[in-house]
Amino acid sequence: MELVKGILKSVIIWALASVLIVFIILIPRDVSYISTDAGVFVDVEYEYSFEKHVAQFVSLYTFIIENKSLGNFSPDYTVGEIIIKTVKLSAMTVIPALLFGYFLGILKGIFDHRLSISKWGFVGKGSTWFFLSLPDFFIVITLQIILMDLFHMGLAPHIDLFGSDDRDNVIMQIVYLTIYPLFYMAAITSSAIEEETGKDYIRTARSKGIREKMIVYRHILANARIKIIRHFNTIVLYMLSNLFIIERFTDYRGAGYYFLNAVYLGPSFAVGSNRNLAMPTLAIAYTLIFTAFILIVHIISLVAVYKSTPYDLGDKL
Amino acid sequence: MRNIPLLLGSMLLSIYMIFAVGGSYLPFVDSELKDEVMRRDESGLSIPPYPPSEKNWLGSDKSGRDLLSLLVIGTRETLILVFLIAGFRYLLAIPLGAAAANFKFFRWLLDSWNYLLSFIPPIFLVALIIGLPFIYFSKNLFFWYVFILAIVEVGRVAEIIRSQMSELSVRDFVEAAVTSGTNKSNMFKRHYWPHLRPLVFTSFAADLGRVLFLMAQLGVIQIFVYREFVSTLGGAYQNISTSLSYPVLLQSILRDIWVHTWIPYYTVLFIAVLIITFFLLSEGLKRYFKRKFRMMV
Repeated sequence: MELVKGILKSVIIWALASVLIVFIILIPRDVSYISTDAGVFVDVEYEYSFEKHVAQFVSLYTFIIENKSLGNFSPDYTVGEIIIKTVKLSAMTVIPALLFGYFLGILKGIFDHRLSISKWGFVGKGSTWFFLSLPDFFIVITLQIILMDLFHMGLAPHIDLFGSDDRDNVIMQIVYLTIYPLFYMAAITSSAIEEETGKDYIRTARSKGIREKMIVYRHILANARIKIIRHFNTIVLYMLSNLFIIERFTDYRGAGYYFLNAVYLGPSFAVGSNRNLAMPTLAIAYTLIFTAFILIVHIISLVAVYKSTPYDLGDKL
Repeated sequence: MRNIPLLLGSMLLSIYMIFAVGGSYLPFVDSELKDEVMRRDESGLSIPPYPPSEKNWLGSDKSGRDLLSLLVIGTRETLILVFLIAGFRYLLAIPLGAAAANFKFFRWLLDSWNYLLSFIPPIFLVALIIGLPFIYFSKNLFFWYVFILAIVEVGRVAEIIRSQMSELSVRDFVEAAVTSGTNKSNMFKRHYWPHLRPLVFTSFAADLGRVLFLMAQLGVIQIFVYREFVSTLGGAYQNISTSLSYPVLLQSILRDIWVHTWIPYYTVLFIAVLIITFFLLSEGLKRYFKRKFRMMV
């Protein structure tokens, strides 16, 4: 029952979030420019009108109903085709990166914890902490420069670093996207394990002479698991946020790249031009896809928490 | 054991503070940020950006300004902005968190707000809102920028405050204060705040790092705090930043990374070290308070 309630709540909030974004996307954006006779930009006047805002919704709706499509992206592609193409490209990188980041991160966390008992403890936790503090685009740039230099020195094979139509691109993209979730999960895991170590049941297990390895995997992780699973949502959100930037850095033409272009018109404008989003249908479709992906992740983690909690969630929460 | 993170963090921060306060007096800094449009040497004429050399240790930017000087002088603006945004965020988050710990309605508001935002990647939200015409063309873009960046993560901070306050509210000393009839403001000032302070300081330091990170990401997609519309002829205008803060130097990173690698690289290095400084301070403060008050922070 708790699970159904949780899922229902997620779905409702998802719908609200989507409506909110669509609402912002469809805010009327026609501005009147004030310029001199020679066309020199002076200022802009903008007035919000609710009727226009409603009209935007209506016209979008009738457009989709009449055309039975989301419109054309370019003479060669429809918006629908672009979406399928780009979402596929991004899914190819996001999903593996998510899985790698999550599971390797947990392994790294366990490793950090086991290392922390020895005198080399600072290496494990230190590296986790260090990579978590570095902005990911710094790591991306550094990797790009190192790979380019290595290639120049003849020490590395040619790796295609920019673009999206090569296997190299996909692999590099997965590497970049994995970095943050991996270290984030490592930090969470090792601190979750640490919290458990002082507890009575662990002392009992130790006093019975169970091996340390066994204690970590069997006893601690069974309890720390719930805390760890809860962070799955967070890493997905951060990863999608980073996706926009990393796809831009690497010129990877995935969903993040086009999504950002669809909602942000960029730093230039011309006097007299309207400020409407070129393709509101594209922006809205991406919004729904991105938020739906997050919704799926929410549901997966809700189910996982439910399944791995031995007691009734209603008691605890 | 000494508190190495705190030591290292304060050392790094003092260096940045020296840059911020007296940057233009440093001997290796060109305080006027002179343009140098052409340079003649034995290999002939060259035009900016100049690569790193004896004269420009870190190279120069596109108008021939010394990159090191630019970064050193830009430190003040960067620090002011980061502190302003994070400060504003906490100014909103602390009352909100406190309210959520005490009133059901605010708790509900905070929970729904956080749940709602957990569906929207922050950078996307910022780009979407700043693109709206009345903000895009606003003369008060500076305030919008600070406001929006502060507000996107206000819920996360408020939740940290709320959970700490809820935890404190069941402790004995709070109950004792309640029974002895302490009024609301004294309750917060004398009983909650001393226990909240370590948490606020440590997470504030970490938030400084997060803010700078977000600002740098926004710099990459050319969203800045100050900007001027510069004509590119034919009625078209380009949005050029007039600020000196670090993220501005990232505006053409996608082109620079190919040819003028040093511009984005050293800028990102300055940013990364500053972010690490903030995280070191946060970690160091955490250890400091833990030892001083034996507190779980």
